[in-house]
This record gives sequence, C-alpha cells and structure tokens, in this order.
Amino acid sequence: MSLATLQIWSFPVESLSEESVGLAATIRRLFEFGRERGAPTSLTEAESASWCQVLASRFYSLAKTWQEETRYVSSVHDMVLHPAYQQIIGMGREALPFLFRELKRQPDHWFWALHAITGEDPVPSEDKGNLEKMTRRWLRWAAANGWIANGQ
Amino acid sequence: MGSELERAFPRLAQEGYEITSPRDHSYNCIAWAAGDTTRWWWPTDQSYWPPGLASRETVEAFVELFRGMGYERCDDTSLEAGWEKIAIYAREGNRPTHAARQLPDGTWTSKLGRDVDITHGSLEALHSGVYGDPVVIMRRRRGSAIPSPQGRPS
Repeated sequence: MSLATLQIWSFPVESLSEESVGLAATIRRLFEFGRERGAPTSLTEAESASWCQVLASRFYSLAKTWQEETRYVSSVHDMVLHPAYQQIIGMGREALPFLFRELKRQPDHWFWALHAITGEDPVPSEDKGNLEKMTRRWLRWAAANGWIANGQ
Repeated sequence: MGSELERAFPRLAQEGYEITSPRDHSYNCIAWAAGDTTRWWWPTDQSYWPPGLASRETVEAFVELFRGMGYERCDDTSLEAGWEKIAIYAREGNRPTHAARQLPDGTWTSKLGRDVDITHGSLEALHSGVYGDPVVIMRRRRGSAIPSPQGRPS
C-alpha cells in the first residue's frame, strides 16, 4: 500500500474534498478486491476506523442533503434521481450498513437504493408502498444476510 | 416550519394556509387524495399503485387512477355543492408531481411529500418549482365510496 493511500485514509474527514473521498472509495474497493483474493495488506485497525469515518461522513452528508431537498417531493422517480441519492447508490455495498441503520431509525424511501445495490427485492407486491412493512422486510433480509445482527 | 414551507412555496403565505398534521413518511399526496394514510402511492415498483392500472408517470395515468375512484374531468376549480374535486399538478407539461383534494368549505387539502398536511385557500398557493401547476381538475359526487379500505375517510 502506498504512502499516498495511507495519507488519504488518515486525513480528518472534514478536510477531505469530494474528489478525495471518491478516490479513497476507489482505492478501498481495489484494496478489498485484493484482500478477498489473498493479497497481503498493511491496513491497520486505526486506518480502517478512519476509513469508516470517511464513509459515514459521506453517507450522512448525502442523506441529509437528500432528505432536506426532497422533503416535499411525492414522485419516487424525482426522489431517487436526486444527485445525492444517486451518489449513495454509487457508494455501492459500502453504503449498506448505513442504509440499514437509517431504515431502523426512520422508514424512508431507501428501497430503490437497496434494490440497486444488492440486486434483491425481498418485499412482496402486497406490501409495496407500506414503508413500515417494506422496512421490516428489508431488515429481515439484512439480518438473514449478515448485514445486521439477528434481532436488531 | 412555516418559513421553510414558505420558501419552497412562495405563494402560500399570501394565499393563506394552515398546517393540519405532523410530518408523516407513511403516505403521500396521491394516497391522501385517495383517502389512504397507510401507503405511498406512485407508479413505480417500490410503491403502491392499484393493480391493473398503467404504471406510467404521466398525467393520463393519474387521470385514469382517479377515474377508477369515480372522478370525471371538469374545468372548474370553484366549489360546487354536492361535488368533491381533486387537482393534479404537473411539471414540464406531462410529469405529474402532486394532487390536492377540495374540502367541503372550498379550501384544498394537500399532503406535501414526506412532510405535513396543509389546507390552502387556492390551488395557485402551491405553484412552485417543486410541483409546477395544476393541469387537470376532476370531480365526483360527494359521498362516493373510496376504494382504499385502510385509509381514513375523506
């Protein structure tokens, strides 16, 4: 791992530009790709924690923007095409823990993003539109697939 | 709350409005117009849309939705004794964005996205970049059944 990579991960979150966060995400995905295939790694726990902070900061900043700027919107299409929502989808599977945490806090229209990222849709047609039931279905799916602890 | 609303809908303050519910993520304006406070109605596969109706985000598809509840198109937004009216808003000509329902006193009630319900004195009060303008008015006899068994009666 290069010094440049480690420097990106050790920057305070607030000092990271959008471009840096995007670059860090790309590096992180490449790193994960290598690790899954047995490549050696020098990533420390501290660096991992720093990385989680970057992801969390990025996710919650985007989620706040999306919630504020679409609060009066009824069109699901307009909601999910909002740039902040699209950027959350662009975070890929790294966004899933935050999406499930948000769903637990407050049912909201995260289903499109979850479907786009996972390729799954655990909600039967009779529950579509009922945010409470859709949320329960997705949280059950998340527990069954190891994204959250059972019973959470 | 009021100032945020008035920033989004600049004509609200001068036309007059009242907030009539807390924020609620459970239902949207289409559900509210249809008398359902349990579901989010929109023609997508992640929302409720009545089976058998075209799942298209067009004004025509929304007209068909309300026609299925007994409404017919009309041209007059004024209060008519014995009639209940709804208005469909759209942007860019044919992209539906919102629906409002007329109350017995002639004012209108709207659910604003994931936010609050309000009553507003005129349809023009919600003219905005968010909703555009009302493009279709429909009416039905008051007391007609609403096919939304889980919703509050309108």
